[in-house]
Amino acid sequence: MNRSFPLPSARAGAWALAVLASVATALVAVPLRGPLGPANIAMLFLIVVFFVALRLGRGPAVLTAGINVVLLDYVIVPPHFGLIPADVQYIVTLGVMLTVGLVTAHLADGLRRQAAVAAGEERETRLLYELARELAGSANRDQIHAALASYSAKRGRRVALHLGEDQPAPAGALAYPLDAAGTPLGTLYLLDADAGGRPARQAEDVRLQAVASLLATALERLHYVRLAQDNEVEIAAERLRNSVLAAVSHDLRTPMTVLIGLADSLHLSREPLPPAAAETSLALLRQARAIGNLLNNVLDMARLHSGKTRLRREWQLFDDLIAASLRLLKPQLADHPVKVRLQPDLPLVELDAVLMERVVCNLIDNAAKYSPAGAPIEVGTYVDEAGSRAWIEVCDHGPGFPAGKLARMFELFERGNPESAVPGLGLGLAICQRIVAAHGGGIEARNRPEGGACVKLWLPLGNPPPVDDDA
Amino acid sequence: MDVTVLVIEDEPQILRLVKNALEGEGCRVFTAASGERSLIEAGTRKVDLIVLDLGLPDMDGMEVLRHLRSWSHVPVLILSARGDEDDKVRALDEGADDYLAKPFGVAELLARVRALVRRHVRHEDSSGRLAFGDVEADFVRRTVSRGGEAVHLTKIEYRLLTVLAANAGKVLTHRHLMREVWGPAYVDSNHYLRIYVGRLRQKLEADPAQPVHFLTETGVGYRFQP
Repeated sequence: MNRSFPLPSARAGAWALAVLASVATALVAVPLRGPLGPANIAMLFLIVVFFVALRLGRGPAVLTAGINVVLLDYVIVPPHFGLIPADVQYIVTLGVMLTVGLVTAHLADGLRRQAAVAAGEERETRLLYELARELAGSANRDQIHAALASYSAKRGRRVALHLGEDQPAPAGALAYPLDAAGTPLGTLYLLDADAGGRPARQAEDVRLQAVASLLATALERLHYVRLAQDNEVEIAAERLRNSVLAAVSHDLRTPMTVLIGLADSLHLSREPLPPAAAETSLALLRQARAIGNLLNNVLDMARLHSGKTRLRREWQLFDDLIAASLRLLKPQLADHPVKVRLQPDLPLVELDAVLMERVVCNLIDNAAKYSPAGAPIEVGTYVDEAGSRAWIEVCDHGPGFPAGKLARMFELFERGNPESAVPGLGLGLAICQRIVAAHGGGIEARNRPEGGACVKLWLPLGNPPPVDDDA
Repeated sequence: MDVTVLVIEDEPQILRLVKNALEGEGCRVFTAASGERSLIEAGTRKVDLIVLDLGLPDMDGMEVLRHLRSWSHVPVLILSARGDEDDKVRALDEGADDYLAKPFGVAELLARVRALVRRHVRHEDSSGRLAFGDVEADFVRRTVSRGGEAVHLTKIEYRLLTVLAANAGKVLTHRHLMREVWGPAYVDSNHYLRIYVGRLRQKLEADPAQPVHFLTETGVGYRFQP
């Protein structure tokens, strides 16, 4: 029901209509003077006052009421065409009629005003609801601006929305900051702040605060949607990369096995090879093993990332771990003497032996890869002073890590020197970091002042089970 | 080596690699590329050693192993992929004698084969003596000496040494070692094993930090190499 009631302002036409209404009623009443008594005709006049008040406003209604009384008195009440009523009782009739007419005018007008106000409020609420709905469905900032523009246009007010904090405030505008959980997102400005009287301004203030909060919510929602989308894209990309890596390395496993096996056979062939061929076969074997190691790293990384790996913790000795790793890397360590310094009676540490062996192997393999032939590699274990962490340290005498990249060395695909002739994917240290972190430990890299790189990792010491000694 | 070997492997290139390596050592080699075929071959020929790949297409390698073990004591060497420690341990517990992780070098393959064949052919060391590094152990008189000087081993250390030495060259799972040395009640207390192997290394290895006789097979068990 959207009939728009005109705002309460008397127009010239209304007064004329009011007079016309009275006169028309009188003209209708005159012929009915006989059959209907004056009392009944008075009722007729009253109804007219009521309708005039309802349609034309209080002023015209009062005028009608007044004219009705005069006309009733002059034309209907005996003596006809005389102002003084013959009978005293008609004074009461006229007086009551005037009073009732005025009260009716006032009440009907009040009713009309209230209806207008309610309709106005209903419209404002509906427009606010439409704004909220459009904001909820908006997918970008342009749509937010458009929704706000449409809302203000329908209401005939001028507003401006400034997003962010870098634009200057328009002069003379009232500011409504957009705030979401303490973060300023922008400001809503009311440009025609002086329009309307004070009560209108107060109502408008409340409304604009509601609008500001709707805008803030919409902007925040956009922000988080974009964040979630970016995150999803990143996750999908990494998952794809990992599954590609895993598939590729899976397919490479058989050829790698054959390659390494054949290279090994060649190198160990019964009939001695001519020196050049012997050197080549050794180089072939080394490169084959290096690729094999890369493959292992890729597979490990994919497995770690797939989330299917669970730590199988057992109480282990660092000595065991180091011994096993050194043995696995014997071919790679042929040119590098290893100095091992194990702290005696290092307590048992809870760890996944297979994964930690991978870590130690990666560290020692790196040290071997980047050290010149003949340069020693140092491996040490110790418990720190606080007594809560067990450390393993692997140091070499190679060129060390590139300056400034120390912090990034544990990131995925990060290589010290991307153009290096040493084969590598930049996965080794990243895998170490992930495995060590899964154990609740940490890993650090540094360059030694005397030259060479050092990587050390720590695992937390727990409460190892007691061992009953026998004599 | 005058032995007959049955190689069960479905990847033709790996099969050829293993066959050539073994034949290079003088072995007679029969091959099978599937579980079913392998059981027929194993049942109809007299073989001294079986090399079995766990990742067969038609039958689970473990099933083949179980079938074999139900009527044969022929030593079995498992070929397994890296990262399947559980499978290796299970295969060893089901009766396999040793394993080789792919990719492997030919030298490793031959070393394992030799160790398994030697055990199978020579049922026991008649003299009861064992020498490795600069250690001499006499299991009849229950003495151990190193560089001529007597070494004191506790009861458990000695028992561990005997179990390892009796299976020289072969991997022994944690479970097996715990059961044989400490008893069935201790099968889940692997930390004992680590500590005691550490002690044996301290007492009997030239460089305990880089042992050459008492070797760790990560995730699986230990191996004694004289």
